[in-house]
Amino acid sequence: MGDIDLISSSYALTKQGVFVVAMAVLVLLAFAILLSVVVLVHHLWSDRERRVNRERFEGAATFLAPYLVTTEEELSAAVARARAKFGDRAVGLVLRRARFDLKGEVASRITECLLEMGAVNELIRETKSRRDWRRVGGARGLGECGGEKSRTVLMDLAMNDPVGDVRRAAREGLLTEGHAQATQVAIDSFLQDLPRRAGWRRSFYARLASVASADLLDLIRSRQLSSGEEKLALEALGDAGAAAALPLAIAATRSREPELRATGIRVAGKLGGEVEFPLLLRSLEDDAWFVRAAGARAIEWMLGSRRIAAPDPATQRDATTLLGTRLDDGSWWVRANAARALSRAGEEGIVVLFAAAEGRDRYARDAALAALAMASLDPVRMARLREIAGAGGATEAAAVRAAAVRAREVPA
Amino acid sequence: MGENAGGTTTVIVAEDNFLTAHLIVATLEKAGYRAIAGRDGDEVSRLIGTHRPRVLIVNLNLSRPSGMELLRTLRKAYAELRAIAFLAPTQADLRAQAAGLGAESFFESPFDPSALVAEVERLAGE
Repeated sequence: MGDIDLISSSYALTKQGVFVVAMAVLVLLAFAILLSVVVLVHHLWSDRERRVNRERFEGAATFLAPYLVTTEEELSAAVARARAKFGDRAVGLVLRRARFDLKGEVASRITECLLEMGAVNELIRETKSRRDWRRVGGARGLGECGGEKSRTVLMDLAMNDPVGDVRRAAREGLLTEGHAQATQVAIDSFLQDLPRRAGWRRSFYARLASVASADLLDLIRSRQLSSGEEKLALEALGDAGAAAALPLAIAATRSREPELRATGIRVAGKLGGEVEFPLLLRSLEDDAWFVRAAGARAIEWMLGSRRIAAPDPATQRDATTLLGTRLDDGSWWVRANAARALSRAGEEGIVVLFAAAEGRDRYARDAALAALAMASLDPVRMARLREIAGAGGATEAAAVRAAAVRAREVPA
Repeated sequence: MGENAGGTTTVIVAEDNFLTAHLIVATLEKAGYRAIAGRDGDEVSRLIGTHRPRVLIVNLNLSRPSGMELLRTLRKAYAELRAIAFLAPTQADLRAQAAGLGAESFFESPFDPSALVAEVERLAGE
């Protein structure tokens, strides 16, 4: 009797357990369905919002563009009509982006319109928010608006905001117009808290080099930057094509620090002329492999994209000979850069490359084939290159040869 | 090449940024040119084949194909096409490469509309 009770009670318990589990599964299922519906609705809604915003932006941009690029049309009235049709948000965004794209008198007119429609005041309110991301957004927006009112707020944010991201956004905004006082405040703020990431520092130097290269040059000369920072700043000046930085680059090539020598060589290759050619050639014999690689790359820039020839035939011959010796350098980078430079060195360079491509040194062979694959060759040499690339069976260089041939098979 | 029946010079603008393309087109239209924008390489190639413009304005940072690739292809196919390139201020190397491919003039953002018109006038007039 006791056993039967025990069995029926266990059975009841099991039945109850199954019921509880089934209910739990149902509840979970219902919850999952509900969640999916919420996610789907949110997705559809935000997708629609994005589409509507994009359409409004494009509508406002199409409508306003003819008024933005000239001083002859009445811009305020057009902006008022656009605000009624496309909304303040879309019009404000179009004006800010256009202000960022244009300069001169037309840009000043856009700033006035942004002030008139209250967009600047709204962004200033955002910079006073307790939320960091709002202040970052406000600072970025003010940088796009330009004008004195925006600058005053940005200068304060760049020096005094407690959050690094906000100070950085403010600094970038201050550099959009090239205004002297704003640039100086941006530099002071930057030196006050040098950003951790090298990418952010590079970005600052690049912006500064493009709007106020003289200020960046002064900063380097002032010796306030460490050697590492000096390299980044010098590279930025080279990228911006700031010719006034050439003497500094030449001085850097004489540094005892190989990294600084390499930077100097790279920048001299971007800014220098035929007078700097011998300097680049000397760098091919440097003890540090990355200086030799920088030298070969700089010669390639000079001869190739910058179309600057060696000052005389003797220097040209020296260049070809030296670059040829670098084809069996211990460093892959030096070999590759030297081969590419030779491919730009005219007939003599091509002859040296073909000799290397058929030679016994497999490193030189690979570098020469890869460079010849990208060079401009006559049909006879093209056929010879295919022949060389196809010969020799499977070696370590097979992939390079195949790539070389494939590259030449694609019509230029 | 480049002039339609009304004597208007045609300029093709290769720019994938919607607003920038409209600003360039509006600038040129105000100056009396017929300007048409294309957002990618295929569209620009088709426009050039159809309209045979005298001047091309190309953003070197265009993607798929890159502005450089587009410039290379189009200058090869249409040797008489005059090219103006738009690029970022920090792209001195790209500028030199584009010059090697035949770009004759360079503009950085932000640009002055009147300077752009003057440059198009110079290239279209030569």
